[in-house]
Amino acid sequence: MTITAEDIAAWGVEGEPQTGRISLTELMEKGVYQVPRSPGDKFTFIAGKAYREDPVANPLTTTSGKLEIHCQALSDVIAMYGLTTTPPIPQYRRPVEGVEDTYADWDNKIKGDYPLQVINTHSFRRSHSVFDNVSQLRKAFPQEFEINTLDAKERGIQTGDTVLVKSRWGKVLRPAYVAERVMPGVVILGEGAWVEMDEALGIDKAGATNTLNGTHLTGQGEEPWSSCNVQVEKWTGAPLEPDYLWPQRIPIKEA
Amino acid sequence: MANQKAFYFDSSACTGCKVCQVACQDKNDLPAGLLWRRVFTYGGGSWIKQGETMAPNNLFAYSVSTACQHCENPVCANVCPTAAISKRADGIVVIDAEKCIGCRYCQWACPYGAPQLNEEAKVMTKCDFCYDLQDQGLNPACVDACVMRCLDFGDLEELRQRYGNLDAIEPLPTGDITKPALVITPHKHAQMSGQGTGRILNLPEEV
Repeated sequence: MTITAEDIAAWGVEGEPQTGRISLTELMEKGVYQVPRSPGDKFTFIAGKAYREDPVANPLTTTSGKLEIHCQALSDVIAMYGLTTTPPIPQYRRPVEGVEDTYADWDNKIKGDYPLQVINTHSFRRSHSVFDNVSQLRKAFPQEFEINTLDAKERGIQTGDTVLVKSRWGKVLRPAYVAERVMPGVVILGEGAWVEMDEALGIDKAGATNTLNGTHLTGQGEEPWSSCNVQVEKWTGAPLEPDYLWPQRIPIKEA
Repeated sequence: MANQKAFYFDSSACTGCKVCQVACQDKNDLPAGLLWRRVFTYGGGSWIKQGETMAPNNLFAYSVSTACQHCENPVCANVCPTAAISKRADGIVVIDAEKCIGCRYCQWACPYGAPQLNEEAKVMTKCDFCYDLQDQGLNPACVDACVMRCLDFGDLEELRQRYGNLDAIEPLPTGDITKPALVITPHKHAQMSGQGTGRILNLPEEV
């Protein structure tokens, strides 16, 4: 950067003038300086250059000496955990509680007890479970349960109705958001809500998606919580109060 | 009006993130239930059966961020029995809390639902265009907060020259009722006010 004697005087600092690629004034105006690039300049770096130029003479340190898309070593380690294995080539693998499991009889297309697939999106209301205590965010994003108009009509559900969502693993209550934005057969509930368990009913009134999901460890022990099968019905008990009116959880209060 | 402050809203860029709504509540220290700025989601279309699968049929949805429009014909001021609502020289419509008796006439008259009762103070409240910030040469809180830069403000005539004359899309009412100081760039699926085939999708508790 070029700094002139005038710059130093104007800033009221001590220092020596210097010459560079851009003046202080210009940098302050533009806010950024981009280093000009050209082919073969000294910033050029090609990863694995020797291997790319002559793979036979310069093999990599892998078993085959080549780039490996499938890592057998990693695959062996994962298999050792005894949870799930991953095939070296892409192939369809029936998901746990995917669309197949919504059917009691797949061949004759007869739906089962949990005919809907719930997907757990990241809600605008919070970052995972962080900030779920903020009333204004609860007002803006009510942790709604989104269901297609056709599925809602079948069940006599309208926007704003409190609905009971049941999975093989748990039950939650939520207000229904009836729209065409989600495909029939699929419903949406955002992940990360703070559990509010009604112990007497065994129902989570906050609609935490973990309440609906079972435990299915995979790979190296990851918990793949993002979807499962559910059934939905209109709730006949007391309707839910809007989330933003719930008291905030403040564990430590100032004296 | 020669001098009229106005909001600009670009519906084609809005993602419905509601940061404008929350920034407004933050700046004005509003309780969760009071929304001086709010965001509607408007949508429609249907799904039709094609063989064994369901196929989308003219599906659409878009977001509309809206506040007080600081109208050229402020019907809220016209119905106020205590003359608590007035229009400043720069066109900003303000409520005088000292004069307001909280009767809600303005709320019922306003087709945008802008004035809202502060239950504790028993007075009507609404977007004041952050005139305190504007008087210091600063931007309204919602404009500065918008992540997608789809909110702007300025002189109504200048905004119209830059962005056109559209002042209403669904679910907002048509502009002829109050002459809103509002300029809109429509979403590609936006429907004209009064001719919409969709509906407001938000929960009643949300907006």
